Amino acid sequence: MTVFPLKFRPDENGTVLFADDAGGYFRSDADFLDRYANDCLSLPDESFLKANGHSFDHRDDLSYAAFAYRWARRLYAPTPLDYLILVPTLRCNLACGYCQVSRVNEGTPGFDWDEETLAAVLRYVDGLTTTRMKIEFQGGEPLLQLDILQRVRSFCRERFQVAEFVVCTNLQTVSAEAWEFLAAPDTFISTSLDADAQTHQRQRTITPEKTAHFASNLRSAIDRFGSDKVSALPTLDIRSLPSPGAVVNSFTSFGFRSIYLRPVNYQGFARKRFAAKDTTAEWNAYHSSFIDFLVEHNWTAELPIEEYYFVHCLRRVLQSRHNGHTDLRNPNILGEGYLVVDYDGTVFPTDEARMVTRIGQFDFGMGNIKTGIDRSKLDPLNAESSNNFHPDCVHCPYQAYCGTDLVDDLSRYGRIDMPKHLTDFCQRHMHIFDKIFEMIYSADVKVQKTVAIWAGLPEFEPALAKVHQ
Amino acid sequence: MSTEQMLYIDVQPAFLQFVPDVISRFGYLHPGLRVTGQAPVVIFLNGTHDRAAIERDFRFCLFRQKIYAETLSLRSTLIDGVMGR
Repeated sequence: MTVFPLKFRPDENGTVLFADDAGGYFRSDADFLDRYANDCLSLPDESFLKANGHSFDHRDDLSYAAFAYRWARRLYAPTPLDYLILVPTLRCNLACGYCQVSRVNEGTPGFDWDEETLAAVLRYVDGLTTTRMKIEFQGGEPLLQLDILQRVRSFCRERFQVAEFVVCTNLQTVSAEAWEFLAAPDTFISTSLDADAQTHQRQRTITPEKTAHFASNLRSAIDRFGSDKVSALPTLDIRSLPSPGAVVNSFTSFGFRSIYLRPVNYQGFARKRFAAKDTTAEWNAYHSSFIDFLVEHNWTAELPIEEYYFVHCLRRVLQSRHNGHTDLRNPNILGEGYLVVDYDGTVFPTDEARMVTRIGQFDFGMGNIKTGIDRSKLDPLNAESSNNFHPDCVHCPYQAYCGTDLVDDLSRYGRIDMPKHLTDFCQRHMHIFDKIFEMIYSADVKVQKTVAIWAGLPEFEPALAKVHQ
Repeated sequence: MSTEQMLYIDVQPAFLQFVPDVISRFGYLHPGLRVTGQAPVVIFLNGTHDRAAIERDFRFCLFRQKIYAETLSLRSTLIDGVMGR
């Protein structure tokens, strides 16, 4: 019998988590680890490993083929490009202190698509092979370029069997025409709601009048279209974190049940104003307390709440092919499944890459939509886009659930070969996966209830918490 | 005056061949520690280090390196099969 390689991580209680490259996991103890590392497995050890898909007898037997299949399903295979982030303008009618997207004042000329850029985008879209398309309009404030949004949407509706549009708007000023545009069933709203009204005003709207105007527009959007068509994201300042209860109360008051907590991102213009570089431990502690708050909330609440990214990671642990978040994939190949087209037609592999380029740190530009896309610049990065054989990740039990974010590494450290355990990416994800396994193996019925809800199960399934004694 | 203390770690024969790689890896993970020797391995500590934790970390490095080295061929074959190479 041969055991598929197991990676391990002890916890504070003296137990040890084991996991393999295909994402199979179980909990055992230090004695089992000793036996495994010293090639002294007992018969019960061998029986357990065989029964749970951690070993095989012959290459190409069913156990071997099944493991290879599960491993393959853990890997992200880029699909033909079917997702574009379009930035028709950098102009914005707000001036948020942490603006991550390099905005300019509303009246500033020269920061919008011209007719030539629009035509080039539509030509590019027309040449895509996919039958489905998702377009995300970003900015600046994209509703300042409503005419362009309408023309892109009309073109895509004609061109693709299925097309979906997301407008990332601050909902500060919404004209009657904009409301009409947003009312379409294939068009969704993504906005920012920074915790509670007080925080939102401090970070974004500045004046009570603007805050009230935003809240009124958000309320109108939900009343008109329903909360399924509207999503809101909070961006939190680590120096001044709101209580979890304040965030939950604010979001539930608008009918939101999914909250995606995001710290001010150490990229773009945000770095000039916020010392967010070395605050991972503080953020992790806050995030953990937020999850604990949600567990308590969900125990009695009629409608449960989730933290979006935590649930995304939980589902990556429990199932393969859960690759819906572009920042957490393995391999995380840049410039394939989706692209960003900036206000001047420059093409970027990710929105973060656009920000990093904008501040002059690295040039991630892949050419211009008007003159042609050049992916060769990304080849050296894409060669490092997998964590499977990374010298640090190769020892990590969370490797199969995790991914890489080389743009984030470059942005923060100016290099991609930092010791992984010193990176923000690794520290944040180690924290998240530690918390996930703490919850999966918790005997607390409150925790089990929330795990079941977030996993999409009617009730907690003990088989999720496999243990080998 | 130096307060350096020495931590001796016995290494079983089955792990000896991995010691040089493990010393490199351990030094990478604990850049403030000096490690030398083979059997036993000697780790030079100062008063602030937790001896038990350091010894445990070193043994885990040994385990991980042995598992990695002994399964690298299998992992490479598997990933080649998975990637259709």
